[in-house]
Amino acid sequence: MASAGSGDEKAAAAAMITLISSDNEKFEVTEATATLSQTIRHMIEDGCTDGGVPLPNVTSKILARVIEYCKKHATAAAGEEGSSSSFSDAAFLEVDRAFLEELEEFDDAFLEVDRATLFDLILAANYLDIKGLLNLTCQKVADSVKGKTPEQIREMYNIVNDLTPEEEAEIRRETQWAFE
Amino acid sequence: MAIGRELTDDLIAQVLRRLPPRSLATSRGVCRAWRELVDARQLLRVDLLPRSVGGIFMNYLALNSPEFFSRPTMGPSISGDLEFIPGFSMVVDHCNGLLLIAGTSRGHDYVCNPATRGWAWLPPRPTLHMGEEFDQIKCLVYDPNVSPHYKVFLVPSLADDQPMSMLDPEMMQSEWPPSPFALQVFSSITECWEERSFVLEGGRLEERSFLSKGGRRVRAITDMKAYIGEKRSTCSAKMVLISISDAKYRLIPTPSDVELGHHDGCLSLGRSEKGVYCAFEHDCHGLRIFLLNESCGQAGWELKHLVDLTSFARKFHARGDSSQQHKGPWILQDINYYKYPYDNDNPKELVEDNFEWNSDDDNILNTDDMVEGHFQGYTGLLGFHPHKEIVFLNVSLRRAVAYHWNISKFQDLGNIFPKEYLEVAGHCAQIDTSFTYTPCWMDDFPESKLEAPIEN
Repeated sequence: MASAGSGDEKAAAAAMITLISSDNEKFEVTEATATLSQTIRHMIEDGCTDGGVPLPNVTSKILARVIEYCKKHATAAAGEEGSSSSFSDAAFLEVDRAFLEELEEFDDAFLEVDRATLFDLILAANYLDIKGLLNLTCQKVADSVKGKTPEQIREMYNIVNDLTPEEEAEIRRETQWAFE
Repeated sequence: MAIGRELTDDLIAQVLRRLPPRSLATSRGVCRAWRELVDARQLLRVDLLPRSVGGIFMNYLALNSPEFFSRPTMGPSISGDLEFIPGFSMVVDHCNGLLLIAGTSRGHDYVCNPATRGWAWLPPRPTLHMGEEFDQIKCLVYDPNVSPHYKVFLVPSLADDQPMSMLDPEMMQSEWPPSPFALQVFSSITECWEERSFVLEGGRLEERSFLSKGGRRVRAITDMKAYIGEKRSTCSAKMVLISISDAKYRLIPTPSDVELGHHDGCLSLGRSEKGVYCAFEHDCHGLRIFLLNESCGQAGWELKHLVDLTSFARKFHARGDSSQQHKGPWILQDINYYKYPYDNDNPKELVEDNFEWNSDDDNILNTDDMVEGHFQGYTGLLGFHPHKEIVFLNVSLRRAVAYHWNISKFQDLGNIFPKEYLEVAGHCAQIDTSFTYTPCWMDDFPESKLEAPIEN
């Protein structure tokens, strides 16, 4: 386990961090991958990652998926930095575009999970403070609700209707324009 | 999988805030927790939606840019000066707060939101393969309740100045519009034009439905349906209803007791409180307002109201000049006067007028007590109020008046004669087209990745 001095930039880029899931599985990732999580970034800055980072709220199954996402997006972020420092040539732009398309395809495939996993990913993204992942997963749930009736939404997400018929009528009245 | 047990309120709010307004409104009806979430965090911003009239955009003949006749407001004011569009321009269509603008000097089309100042240009229109006799009616379709994205439809129509005899005889024989009817559609999602086919539903009418011989085009858009017709016609007018969601179109006859052809009658379409309305103006017969009834298989028009505008115009004129000197309460922004002064090259400084007025009851004209003068002026329709039984009228190009036709009340709105317009336009002075404008403050105008058009 390499815990390099954080003052040395080159060493920091190659530094590895150990993440420990709730079921005690250890995952070794680069610091660049781990710091997509603001929560872990702060831990690293505070110098409290020696001996691994325990994540009691995340199971190994979900942590593996989260790391998969972070790895892909960390390389994307690194690629972006690289291209912005070089002159913007048409060829570079073309590469950028291809890379962004690949990233979109990755995200789409990444979201092909059952509902329970999707919720777990939202919770993990929130706990680890990974903005991109939280955005992606919340949008997926929002898309599934869009255009559905209240009854369809309740059925899909197992929600009990605790509104009285009077309240339902009131809601319809308040937002009549939405039901036209 | 119960979402409420799995996710915290904060996270459910994260999900809900990504919904468009209509879905958000529906989500309030799922359960108490969701309703409280949406309400407590004010996720549903109805105040941003285009639900009130902010003014009227008008294209005046001989003026470079459209004028904005603005309704006084307690909120942020909206400028009708679309400074990001270079050269001459005119408003071609309006839909829920977005304008479709034709840049007439350079030939580019624009879509813009005057409230948020978001704008984009459209890629060049695909050329028609139907021959020079045909022009294209442009229609903008946008519903911020459902999506921030908009579409533009091109509907082939006969060019204004084409005599019928110029048409290909084969075309005269064939049925029109054909089925399937191929339309070019631009979507802000893909940012390109694509051809889409629409199939005729319901029967053909006795006469062929050419859009639009010798007339100006009118349109009304409601819930993904575009109603397109013609405004003035020497042959009988037809309307085409294009249903965007299910790729169909229908033909609707004009109101049966409207005689087009002999006199200078004028037909307008609009959306208002109960659906799609059609107004027919005629010098001798006043203004008739019809409502489209689509409930039974065959769509038809129901006469809802008839008003004698000639008598009103005479009474209005007889009030004398002093009462016409007031500018407001609604204000013509005189964009052309300040930007393109007639007699010198120095643009004039814009003077802001502030009127405290926001009520439907102000400036009601008591027409019963008014005396008719000898004035031979005219009254023309400016547009329908989108949510109330009100039409906006142009009285002899001097004043705009709102007419509440359910209670037969006229309401004086303000001066609509642009400064120095007589010097600029002379005897051509006329309002070409006008659009009732409903501001939309949703700050999610689709970002455009299109390259800037090449100036030529």
